[in-house]
Amino acid sequence: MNHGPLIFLGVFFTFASSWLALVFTPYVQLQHLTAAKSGETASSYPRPIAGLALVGQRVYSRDGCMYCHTQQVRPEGFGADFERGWGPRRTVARDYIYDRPVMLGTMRTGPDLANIGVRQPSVEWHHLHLYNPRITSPGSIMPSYAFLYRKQKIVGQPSDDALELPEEYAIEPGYEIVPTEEARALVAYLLRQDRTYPLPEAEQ
Amino acid sequence: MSDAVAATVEWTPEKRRAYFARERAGIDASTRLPVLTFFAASVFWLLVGTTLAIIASVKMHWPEFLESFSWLTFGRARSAHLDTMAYGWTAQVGLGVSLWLIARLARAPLRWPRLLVGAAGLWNAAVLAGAIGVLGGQMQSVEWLEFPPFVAPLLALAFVVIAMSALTTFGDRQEGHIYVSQWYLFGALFWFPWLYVVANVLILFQPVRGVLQASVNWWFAHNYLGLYLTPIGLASAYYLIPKVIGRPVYSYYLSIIGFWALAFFYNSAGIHHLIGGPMPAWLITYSIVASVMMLIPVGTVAINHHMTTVNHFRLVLYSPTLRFIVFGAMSYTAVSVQGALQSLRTVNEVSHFTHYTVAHAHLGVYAFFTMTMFGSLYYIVPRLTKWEWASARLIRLHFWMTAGGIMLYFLSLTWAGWYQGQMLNDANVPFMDIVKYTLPYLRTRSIAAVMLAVGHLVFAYLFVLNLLHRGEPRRDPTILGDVKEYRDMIGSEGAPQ
Amino acid sequence: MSLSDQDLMPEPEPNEMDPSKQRRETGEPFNVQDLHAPIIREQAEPRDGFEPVPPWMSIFYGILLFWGGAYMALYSGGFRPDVYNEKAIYFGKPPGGADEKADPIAVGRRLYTVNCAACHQASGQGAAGKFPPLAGSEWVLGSPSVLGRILLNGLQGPVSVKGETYNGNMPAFGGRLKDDEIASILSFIRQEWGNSAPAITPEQIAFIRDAVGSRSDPWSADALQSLPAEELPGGDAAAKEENSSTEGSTKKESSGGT
Repeated sequence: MNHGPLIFLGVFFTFASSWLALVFTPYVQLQHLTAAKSGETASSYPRPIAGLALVGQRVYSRDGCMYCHTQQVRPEGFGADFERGWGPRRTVARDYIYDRPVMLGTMRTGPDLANIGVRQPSVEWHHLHLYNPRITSPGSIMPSYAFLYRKQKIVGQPSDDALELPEEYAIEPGYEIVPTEEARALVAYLLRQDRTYPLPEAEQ
Repeated sequence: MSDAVAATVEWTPEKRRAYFARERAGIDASTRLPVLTFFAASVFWLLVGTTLAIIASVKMHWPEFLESFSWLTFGRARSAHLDTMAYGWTAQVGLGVSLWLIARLARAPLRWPRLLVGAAGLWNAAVLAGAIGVLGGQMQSVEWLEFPPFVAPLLALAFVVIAMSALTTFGDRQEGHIYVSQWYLFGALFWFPWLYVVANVLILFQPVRGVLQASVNWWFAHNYLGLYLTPIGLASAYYLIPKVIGRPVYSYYLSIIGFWALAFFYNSAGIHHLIGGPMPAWLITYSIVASVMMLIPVGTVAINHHMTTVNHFRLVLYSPTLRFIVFGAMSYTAVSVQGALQSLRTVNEVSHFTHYTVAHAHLGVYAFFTMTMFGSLYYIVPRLTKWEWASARLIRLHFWMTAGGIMLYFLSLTWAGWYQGQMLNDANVPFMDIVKYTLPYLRTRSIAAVMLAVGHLVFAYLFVLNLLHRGEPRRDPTILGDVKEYRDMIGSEGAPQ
Repeated sequence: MSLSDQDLMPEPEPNEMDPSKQRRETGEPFNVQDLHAPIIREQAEPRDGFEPVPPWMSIFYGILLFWGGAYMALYSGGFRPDVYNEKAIYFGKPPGGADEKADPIAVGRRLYTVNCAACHQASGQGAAGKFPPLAGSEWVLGSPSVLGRILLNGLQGPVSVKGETYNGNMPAFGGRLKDDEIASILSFIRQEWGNSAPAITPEQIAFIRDAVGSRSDPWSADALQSLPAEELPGGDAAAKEENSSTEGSTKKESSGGT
């Protein structure tokens, strides 16, 4: 192998082969996936992420939730994702067509969140959990996202969205903890995580 | 010197040695400024990345630690650790070693040294901006590409300049024979920019739809290790093992098989990170096959290196370079065999989503690549600074702290990860029990991280002493173990350090 | 000879970066004294040996390649973009899950993890002040009519459980879960963590759903406590009798599982 151009060609073609198999062919196959339409109700799935949830997606990405929580359900019989109740079916490509970036995740320090909006629909719970995970889940090692909440003096009536902290975690009287715009966006994004819609390709 | 001129000289062994020594000195001089710049910057980022690693590691078992700083929340600290290590340390130290090897093996002075220093400046400015961006809230949750998007064009531009210089130097080569290390370096310098540009465009600038981002992501992230770090690590092992021992590489044919099998199979292995995920079955199967086929290049390289070193293993007692590189080469075999097994669906069902994978990644990037780079630096730096390493004791401390630290890291997380996976797959085990089970192992990991940090500080200290020419001037190499014994063993010819 | 040895020598410092040193590099031909030690003592550049490839290696690699081809062919899913199960085309449906559906306690356990465990915890202990415990709770062990209503419509306001007061918001599950699913969850929590109360049947939940009618507001603890007694299908006596025979078997199962 003393011929430079020959090495170059080999290096080029081996690389092109993987580009063709792992990038180009899947692109041809999956780039034009569309939402599924249900005949009866004319609703389609998935819906594009919009409004507050879109801001929440940015917060989720920015603070790296993905590095401890996956957003994918493995098929029944492969792992215990189904038995743990993380989803009624495996997730498939169509579930993610509007996600940007797609945050499948590769680590489960915490539970899967692919269907967290269905599994835990309580806004109040999510705010308490984000403010301090140990309020709702004793023993958790999740970091506190208290920096997404604001402490303010109560003027007149307490705010509607003030967190109802249990005694153990109470702050000084006369003050209250309220979610910032970012916290509300993040919760909106979490509540939107619903990949339970039956898709034919997921039932093989 | 042309063949015609060379024919007029009466060559004696002494003249030959002197001729090549002077030639090497000239080539080294051309690489001195850019290569030392890359090394110094990479050692700086190694320390930054280590600090971030300790912060992230401690946060995992002590979530209240520094919890009020949004800049250091786990997700960001962890990603800043990964990116500073990837682009600050591994990429740069790899570039420094590559440039030096390219010039040495081409027997031609390095092209455009000053331009390279400029490219190094651009590269470091981009890494700094990227790290601040990640910590400050501009992070992208795309694994190995967390930097804010504006960083990518800067890194790509700097890399293209560096690769052009290296490839032009390769084009100037006086040596007719293209040695195996050069194939790997040629590959790495060509593959990385293609990978990096395609991945950034398709994920951050013109995103492809849905899960295609995930497949492009893992095609990139896996190949960053497989087609960039691995070839550079193997190129320096292929150069330094025979150089230090003073024997030829065992078999040219094995070198050829090893290189082309790596080029073909490593490429396609990335999607094994998505087993069980929302990817068509064929794509995952294809990557599993490619991952298992990696046994071919790995077995080949392992035999080639082993047979080159065989009967000379005693040298690892003396030569810092050989000690680190042999540790790295053995780790390469281990991590690759582990990787092939881990890609099988039955094993992956347990190991996926656990600390097992984290341990595996560190076995590759640290025990193989980083240790190989330490070994290379122990060889290259004295030739550039014209100054011997200050202390054999500190080198030994560096070795035992890093080797011990990474083994402790690997064993604790592999064990914890495997049982974590078993428990995750049993729906009767409450999730919080799994969290509690992993805690002692996560604490052990923090201890391992501190050991690695001590090793890195020692190395940084040695490196700075060397740059500043501190310590006694000597003409003898800094040898681990007894110097007299070592002299008896190697005889008068040559020197393994 | 027109060239001196000196002319033949490569310049040790060919670039302009260190000109002061270049001047000093003159001396005897092929003199190495002016070079630094690491360069002089260095061994020659590496060369290649030409040992043949061992035959066993070729055989092993051949087997590997054959395995790779076979694995690819078996699990390619026809290279279709909509086939996710690698065994779909050759082996039909994967095993697992079929038995579980017959056992209401196992179904209840799974549904509990999905819908309830986030607040009441996998241990059934709840969280202080916020989410009441289910283990040993008089509400859980008490009247199926009350328990069924809590699940169907939710519960708001302070509630006293095991002598402690909790103030939380239990969401309504009536719209989300079917009768048999609610019955499974309730049966599960009545027989887990040392609880032992009779199972609740889907018919009973259907009856309560009818009785509640179109109510959509959550209950308060007081309203539930002042409910008049009602006769559920398969009444208390029948349930008790059934319980004495089934309790043993369900208990065994849950202890075997955990």
